[in-house]
Parts: sequence; C-alpha cells; structure tokens
Amino acid sequence: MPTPTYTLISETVLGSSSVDIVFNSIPQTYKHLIIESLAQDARTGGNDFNVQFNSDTSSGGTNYSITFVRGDGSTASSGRGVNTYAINFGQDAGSNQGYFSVITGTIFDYTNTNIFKSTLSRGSHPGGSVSATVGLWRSTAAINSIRITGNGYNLSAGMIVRLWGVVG
Amino acid sequence: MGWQLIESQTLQASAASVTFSNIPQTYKSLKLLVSARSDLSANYHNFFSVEFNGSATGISQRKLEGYGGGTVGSNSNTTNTGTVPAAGATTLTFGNYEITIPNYSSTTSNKVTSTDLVTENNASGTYSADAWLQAGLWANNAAITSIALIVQNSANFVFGSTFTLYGLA
Repeated sequence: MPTPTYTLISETVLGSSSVDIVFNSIPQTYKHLIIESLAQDARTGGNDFNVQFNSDTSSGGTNYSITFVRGDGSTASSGRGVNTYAINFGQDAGSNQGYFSVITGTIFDYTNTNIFKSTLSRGSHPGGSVSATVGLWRSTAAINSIRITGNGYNLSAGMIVRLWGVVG
Repeated sequence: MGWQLIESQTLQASAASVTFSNIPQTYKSLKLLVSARSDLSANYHNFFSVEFNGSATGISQRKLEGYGGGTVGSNSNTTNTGTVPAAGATTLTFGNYEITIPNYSSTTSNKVTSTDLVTENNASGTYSADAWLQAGLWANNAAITSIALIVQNSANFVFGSTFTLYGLA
C-alpha cells in the first residue's frame, strides 16, 4: 500500500445554514494542514471566507494580517490588511449565484511553537474575484482548532469544508 | 491517502487534442497537471480550450493575468482556456497548467474549477509570457466523466507534452 501523503482529518457538509464551521481537537501529528472548500454564504455575490485559529476568534481581534493579489474580471489589484481579526482566504460565492466558489489554503508548520503561523491560499469565484493571499497569525501557539465564517454572513447549506493533514 | 495517479499521457507525436475518458467517480477532487507546448508558428503562445463531458456550453471564467513588464489585468469570458508556449517562444520551453476540480462527481451542483498557469519565454515583449490565476464555472450538474484539452488556431500540442490526472482520496 502506498504511503499516504494527505490524510482527511475531517469533512463538514452543512445540512443547513450556519454562522460558522469549526474544526476542534486537530491532531498534532501532521506537518501542515490544508483547507479545501466549496464555499458559499448568504451575501449577494458572496463575502469573505474568514479563517481564525484557536481561541483568537473575537471580531475585535488584531492578531492577523494578509497580503493579496486579486482580479475581479475587470480590474487587477493588490492590497494588504494589517491588525485584522481573521485571515481572508478568498471570496465565497453568494447564495444567489447557484454555485460554490473554490477555496484552498495551506497552513504551514501548524504545530511549531517557535514561529508565527503562515498561510497561503487561493480563491476562485467565477463570478467574483480570483485571488492569491498570504496570511499571518501572530501567535506561536500550536493550532488545535480552526473556525471558518462568512464575515458576518451565514454559511450556506451545502457548503463543504475538508481539513487535510499533510504527512511530513 | 492523498493524490493518486489516475492516468498519464505523454505525446509521442503532435496532437490536436488530449482526452481523459471514463474518469473514476470514486475520488473527492481531481487535479490535472499539464506540461505542454504548441506548434503554432510565429506566436509566443497559443490557447487551448478545456471541455467536460464533450460540452463547450455553460462555460465561463474569470482571470487574473500578468505578462511581465508591469502588464497585469483581469477579465472574464465564456470559454475555459489555458495557454502554452508556441513555436515563437524560447526553444525547449513548455508551459505549466494546473486545474483543480473539487466535487467533480457531484450530480447536484455546478462545477467550479481553480487554475494556475504559467508560461515562460526569454523575451521582453508584451504577452511574451503568461502567469494566470483563473476561476472557471461549468454550469452543469452532471458528474465529470471526461476532460478534453483542445488546441486552438488549427494547431497541435507537440511531441513530449505531458498530461497527468490525479484523484484526491
């Protein structure tokens, strides 16, 4: 049997809309984590796929930051968010649009207690924005839980999030 | 388990298209990796279209693209395309294309794809090389059972181009 490279830790498929999706008690035995999602929220056109770690889930938090490149179908842009309360992995599709956007992201070295935690994500919303984003969580804590929200909009029924562990 | 090889094709002669058929429906996602070049003469690059289940309808895409030298843009259109270096590009140089298709076997949802693409060319002219991030939509609930890549402008993929399909289990 070939050696596994990715292992599915957990999969959530929303049966009804929800304010968030949370993965708790994440095993500390992998090298990196990967989030893979077909994402949708209640906002017309879709809102942010926001990611927070451990207990750092306050809407008033300041321990995250991002830098991104983005195209919306007519304009290319790049920007930064500093002292934010979450990492925006990309744009959800909206519940009015009949499809889900693809969001993928890697959380590197998530158990390392000597570094702040970095993420690299891609967002692909065929009616919204295409993006690549680097994120930083300014904490040396090992990541044992992940919370995903729609930045104030409920996540839609049918939304799928898979958490993979990368063997290393 | 991770990414498992479903099928790999390496061209032993130029070909106008490459197709993966009878794709197993047992994975959670698909990933197609392409290393290819076109024989379209005098051009830096040439386009190819991507069709699912032989269908060219219900397709749209949104793209962020860079061409070097400060040229960057974003656009939308109703085709699903990629691009590879062509006969006018630096010799022995193939472009790379990676498309991920989550939930390809679903029969209850439209299919959305995520694509990264790069070509390189040791030249400085505008559009002489490409870097794309792309989101694609196939507005169809059918499970994806085949993927075809079709070269445009009556040209071909060249000998040595490789196309590798993986499933994520």
